[in-house]
Amino acid sequence: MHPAVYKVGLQYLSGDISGGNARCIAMLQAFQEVVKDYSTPPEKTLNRDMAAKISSCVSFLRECRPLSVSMGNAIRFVKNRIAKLPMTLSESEAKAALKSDIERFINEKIIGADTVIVKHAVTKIRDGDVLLTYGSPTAVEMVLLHAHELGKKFRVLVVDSRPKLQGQLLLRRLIKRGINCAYTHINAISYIMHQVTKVFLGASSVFSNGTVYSRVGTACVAMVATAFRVPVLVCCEAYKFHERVILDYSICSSNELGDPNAISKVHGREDINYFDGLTNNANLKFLNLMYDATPSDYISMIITDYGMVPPTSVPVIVREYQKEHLL
Amino acid sequence: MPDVQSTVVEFVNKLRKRKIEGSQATAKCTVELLRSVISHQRVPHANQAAALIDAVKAVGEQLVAANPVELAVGNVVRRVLHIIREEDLSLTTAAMGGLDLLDASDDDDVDNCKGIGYPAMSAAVVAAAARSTLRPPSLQTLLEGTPESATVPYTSSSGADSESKTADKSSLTRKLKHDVIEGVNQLIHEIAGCHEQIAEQAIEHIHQNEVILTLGSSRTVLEFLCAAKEKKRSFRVFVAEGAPRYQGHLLAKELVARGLQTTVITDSAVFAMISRVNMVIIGAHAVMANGGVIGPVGVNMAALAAQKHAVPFVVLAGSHKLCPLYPHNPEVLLNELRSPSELLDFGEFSDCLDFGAGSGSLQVVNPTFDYVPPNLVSLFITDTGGHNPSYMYRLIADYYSADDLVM
Amino acid sequence: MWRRSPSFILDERRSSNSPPMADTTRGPFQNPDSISAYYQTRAAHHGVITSDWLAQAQAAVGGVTGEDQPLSSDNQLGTEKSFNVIEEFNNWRKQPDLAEAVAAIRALAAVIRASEASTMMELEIELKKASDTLKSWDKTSISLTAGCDLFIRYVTRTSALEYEDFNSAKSRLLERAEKFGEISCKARRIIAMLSQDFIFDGCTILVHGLSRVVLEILKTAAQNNKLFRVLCTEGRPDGTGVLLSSELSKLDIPVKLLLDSAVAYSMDEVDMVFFGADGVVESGGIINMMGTYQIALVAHSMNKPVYVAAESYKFARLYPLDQKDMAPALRPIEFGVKIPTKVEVERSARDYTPPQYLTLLFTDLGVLSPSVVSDELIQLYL
Repeated sequence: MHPAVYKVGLQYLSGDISGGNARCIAMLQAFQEVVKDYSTPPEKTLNRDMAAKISSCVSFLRECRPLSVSMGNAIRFVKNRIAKLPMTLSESEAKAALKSDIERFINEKIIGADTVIVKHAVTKIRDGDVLLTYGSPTAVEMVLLHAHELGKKFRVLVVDSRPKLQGQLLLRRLIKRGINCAYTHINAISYIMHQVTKVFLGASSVFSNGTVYSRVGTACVAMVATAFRVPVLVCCEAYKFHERVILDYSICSSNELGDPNAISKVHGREDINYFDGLTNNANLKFLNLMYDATPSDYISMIITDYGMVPPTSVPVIVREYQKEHLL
Repeated sequence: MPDVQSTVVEFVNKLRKRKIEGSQATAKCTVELLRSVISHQRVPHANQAAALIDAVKAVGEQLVAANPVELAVGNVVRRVLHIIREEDLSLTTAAMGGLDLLDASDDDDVDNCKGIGYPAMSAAVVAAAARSTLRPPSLQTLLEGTPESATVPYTSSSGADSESKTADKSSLTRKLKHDVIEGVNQLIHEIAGCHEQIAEQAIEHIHQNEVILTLGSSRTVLEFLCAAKEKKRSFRVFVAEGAPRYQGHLLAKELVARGLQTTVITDSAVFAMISRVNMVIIGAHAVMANGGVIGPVGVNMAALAAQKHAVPFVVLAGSHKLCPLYPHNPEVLLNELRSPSELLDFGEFSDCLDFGAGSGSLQVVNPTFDYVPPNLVSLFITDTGGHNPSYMYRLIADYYSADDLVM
Repeated sequence: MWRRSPSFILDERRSSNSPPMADTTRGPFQNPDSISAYYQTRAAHHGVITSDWLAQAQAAVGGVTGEDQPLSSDNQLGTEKSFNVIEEFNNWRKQPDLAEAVAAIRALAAVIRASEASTMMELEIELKKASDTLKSWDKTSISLTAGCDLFIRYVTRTSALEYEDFNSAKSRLLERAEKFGEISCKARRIIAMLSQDFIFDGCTILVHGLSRVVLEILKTAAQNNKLFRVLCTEGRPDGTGVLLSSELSKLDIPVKLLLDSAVAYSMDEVDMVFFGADGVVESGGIINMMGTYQIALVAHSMNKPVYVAAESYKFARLYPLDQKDMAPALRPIEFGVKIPTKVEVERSARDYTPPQYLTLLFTDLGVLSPSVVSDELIQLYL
């Protein structure tokens, strides 16, 4: 195993790297290292062996933490490029081509996509807006910071949920930049939704029927917002789109489960200790879902690097994206 | 008298400092306090009912002002007032019946009856008019006379018939107070027993192998689920943990102790799990006259999710939780904001909150309650049975007098 | 009667000589003009007297007398009274501050006064006849029907209460009938008081139609120093919104006039919608000025509360299933341009709003959810 992959895997495991984009970029950069240090063993072809090598890296990373859909898409891209390498290239040429392809993917499809998303999303923020966001989506954070730099006057409501409490990190960063914020927990969402004018959400993936796969709780926020007739905007890079369709919103088959002990113990609240000595009881279980799926009727708009599209256009983007990539 | 006063003050302080929590406990304390107020109240000879009503009202206003969000206090005060009015009425009609008999015995003395002030009207009419004051105004009585005129025979009733029968009166006085206290005792009994009454119906609603979602910690829900368990139903309970107070942890602990299969989920997973659930059961903090529910924070989210998946949303509420008011802006007005420290540790945030250095402001919102509009509720289960949200107004009309709605 | 499929259109062309609708409901005492008497009252009260309307009103007045006279010779005793009733009613309803139900009850009181009946039974029968006459004279007015029914019901119950002698019973009936105008005014004040809790500072209220009760509510709120803003729909073709907005601006209430078609556009800035009602029906729904239904639909789809202010004597034992399931109240509509004769014009003056689109009713009986209406009616007519 390549040390770079090993390092990334451990970072996934410890939670030092989290968030769809960060995880994906870290993985791709590790792959670049793998490619750089690669040399074709005798009696093997580069295409086949490199693909096998990448596959073994992927299965190691999957051991550390289940892969996100966006990572799956990126891996598919890498493998595709490997398979398509012309046999005529020398090893060093092939390695350089592959490295630059990966570099291009990171720059265009992830970092570049975010700048386009920010450019689009900022047009929807008006003076006097109260924007709600849930958790700590990177794309939304960039949108908010950019809008603030443009001098727009708005307030941000950060909604957070246990056990990860990532919203606190976002809150801290926003306040430091001088944005007026309010903070609350997900249960209180009906109470604050009156004041909200727009909801900005991030996504881990968007499926072909318009269902948004995202941090658990996102569906709740979108649902309450829809009930209060507040528009819901989802910021998501197109490389995270997937042709799968989903109807089961709890996604029991493929959902990632977090640490159950994170539920039974409340960090920083020693007074909440009802489960001390009960954790081995057969009747008591803890379920810590990581993701949920938001039905497309709760989504007003998806902002991607292809512009602002309705959720019904997701299959169109999936189609166009694949066409572009299989070239 | 002074010791009653001091207990009132003590209770008011407790309410104000939110030392008493849970509508059942509050209701019980309130009604016990009112009972001692009534039993210590000295009643004048005429108009004893009015004196009692005034005394109860005076205390009631203090209690309501001490914690306006705890609607059970106001509800119980109104119930006690209703008991006083009803007992007074039944005594009056009984006395009137005696008068009627008296008239019947000497037929020629019809003018005497008129002289008292009921021109050409039988006692039944007067009683009917008096009863109408206990009911809210209705279309039926619209033409029959204005409420004010109807109250006249009622308020003067004790005075009017006592004129002739001074001897009877002292016994009547004692009788009223006795009856009222009897009625209040019954109310105490009812409040204490509402869990069992509600739990008895559990078997009709919970079936084998079902999955139930609940949130918040409600004694009523606990008893309800356990009653079904005792009847050998096996089912699984999902409990949302209810951050930031974690009352779900408390409920889950008790459910596990009673041997129910329990799964604790995060609040954010409510929508994701709802499609795996057969029924949502919650305990109400208060039920409003339009069928809307005030419940623990997060309830509206669960109700919306249940509606999306056509999962029945069942609300358990003892009759002391029925509030005769129609909510306007309930999300804000009938709510209470708790300490931000439950959500954020100020120590951790003090570094970025340094004012004047260009940092933004921070507001932390931590409400206690949530409002669920009536169209999201499938069923109310009260101690008198199951009801639709559209029928709650009727229960309320039975429990309270129209005059007491606004205190 | 309502043509939904093309074949019906063809049928209609064949028999195009006969004017559509209204005719079928025309009885012997039916208001001869196709414009409903109910609408005329409204129009008169609103003071929108176009020359067109005047002409029609005159024709209507002529028509009534013309049609009733020959009948009275037919049946001397009975119609003498019935003639009185309509005349009396017409006199009362000319007073602009008097609700139609009040006028109806006053007219029935006049019947009692003129009656020569000597027993309660006779009086009851006489009143029943008079009220039937009145009701059939204008089938379109719901508060007229409801007012008559309410009074007859009261008479029946009073007679059941067994007053010692007939004259005291009669005088009590008369006294109550006379008081009814007062009850009506008082009802309006009660409603205004009840609704104050619901109007909070800084809110925006959408109002459709010119309702005396709603005006009273807004007036009271302004007197209580509440800060609020009113959006008035224009209310074509009567311009009721224009009248209401001028009333409100006299009270220094900020007011904005909307086209009837701009409701959905403006709904997101609205906090609550207020309607009056011509009648509240058994289901808890309301029958009100044309446009109410569509505003309620818009408000419902945007989750805005819809409040109805109506006196309880407007509760009527009617249960329309849909818009066409009630006697249409027709009215003249001016489009300002010449309409080709082949073009059909929808002239109905009001529509039915089902209860699921209403949040609460403010009545003199208290704040009610729509389900209470049926309860009250069942209790009254059981």
